[in-house]
Amino acid sequence: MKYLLMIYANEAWEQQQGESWDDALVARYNQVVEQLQQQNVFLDGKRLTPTETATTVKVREGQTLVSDGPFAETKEQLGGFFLVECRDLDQATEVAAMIPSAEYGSIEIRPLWYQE
Amino acid sequence: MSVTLLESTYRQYSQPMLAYLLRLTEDLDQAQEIWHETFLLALQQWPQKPPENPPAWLKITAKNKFIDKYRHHKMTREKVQQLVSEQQEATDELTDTQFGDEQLKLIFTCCHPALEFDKQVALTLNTVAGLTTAEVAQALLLSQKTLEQRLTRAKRKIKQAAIPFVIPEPKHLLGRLNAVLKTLYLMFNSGANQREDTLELQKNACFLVRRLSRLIPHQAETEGMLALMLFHQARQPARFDTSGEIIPLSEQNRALWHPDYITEAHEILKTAMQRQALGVYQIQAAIQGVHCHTKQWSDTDWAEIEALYRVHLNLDTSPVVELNAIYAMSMSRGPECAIAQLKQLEASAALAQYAPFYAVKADISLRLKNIPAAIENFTLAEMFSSSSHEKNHFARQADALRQA
Repeated sequence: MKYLLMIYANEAWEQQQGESWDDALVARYNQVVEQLQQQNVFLDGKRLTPTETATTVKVREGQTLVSDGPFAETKEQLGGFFLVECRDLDQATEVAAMIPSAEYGSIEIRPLWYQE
Repeated sequence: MSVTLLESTYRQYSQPMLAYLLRLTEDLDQAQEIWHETFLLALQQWPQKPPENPPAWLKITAKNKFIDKYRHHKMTREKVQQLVSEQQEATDELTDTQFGDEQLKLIFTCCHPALEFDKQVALTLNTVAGLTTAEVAQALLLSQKTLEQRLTRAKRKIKQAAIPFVIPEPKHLLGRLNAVLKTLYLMFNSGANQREDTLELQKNACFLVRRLSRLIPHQAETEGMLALMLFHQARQPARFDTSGEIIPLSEQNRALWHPDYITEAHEILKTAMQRQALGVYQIQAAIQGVHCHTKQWSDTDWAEIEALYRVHLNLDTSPVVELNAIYAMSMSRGPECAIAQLKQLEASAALAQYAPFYAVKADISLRLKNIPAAIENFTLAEMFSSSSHEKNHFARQADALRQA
């Protein structure tokens, strides 16, 4: 089973934590990724740039509408993702709990639609 | 084959058969479909030719149905071949010990934290307790359509998110225990006032709590729940009269109570309490223990029961527990004391459609010699009760007062 683990956290709070905090976080992420690679669980995973870089595209009646954002009033924003190969939801849950941002943010687990 | 025998056969085998088929199909919907087809076949064949070993018949028939269905299915072909070659499995029986683990797996799947609590309860009642969707809908006070949608969504989530059919790893067991206990508690209570269901459901729930207490030993609340269930079961023989009407605790013939159950429950509760991890199931067991150790209703130690309800309210409060505490207080200190609190509870409207609320009001009115209020409340209790036995009981109370 392939699961997408979406990492949500309060971006503003993260940005206030300072550089050394961020470096430590990245180091922990690298460790987790390495561990998951050894277990043949990790397929892909990336950190995203902040939501201020986001662009939204909609096509309505043939017209392409492009806008800045989204800047929806949500408490947590998507900050990155892991794509993992797991036996079942229990294993995916364990992997999600290893993600450092789970300690202050939250991880949404979604199975991929097409499973071969 | 009578309807009752049918129902009891269905209930007896539904859970182990589903557990077995779930292991084969890994899909709750398909497991249920094959089980229903198998049971239908049993309905057609058993009256003419009853099998020597009904559980073995069910298992072989279900297995063959599975093989037929999935013979050409790529994903399960390997499994089918493995099954066909397993000759010795054909003689297996559906015994408790053999299927104990399968049943626990089924429960842990149904009570998985990735399913919201409402879905856990609906699934457990439908699969583990073997209630039909109509019965589950009635027990949960939902329309059948809502319930069916809930079940469909829950099954889809299990399948699409691959919620596993396993007993959780030891490090996760404890965290998963509460949800399982909570649903087993609901299962125990869901048929509480329907005579036929009560016995089967309660026995089944009790059996599963016992298995849980072995799987995850030394847990005070599991033991507390087991004690609670045993105290209730001890009183079962005295709960209905010969015509099937409910006999309230105050009028039961206590000589009919099962002394072995009471002794066992008492011992288990004592062990639980010594663990110094107090919880609501232990408190509820202690309350039932007070009743079970009292020779006659008039000797009941209501001050003790009231004190236990106060402890319960400190640990966990709900309008129903408040109502019970108020009733105990009315018995220990007189009905006048209870009126103010009852009014407060009424103002919160949480129990506006809860039959026992009106039964307590009726009882207190009666003791205050307010006959019209008693009649009115018994009538309301009858209106809001969902059990025909209970409805009859309240109707008779109101009638008796009208004629007096």
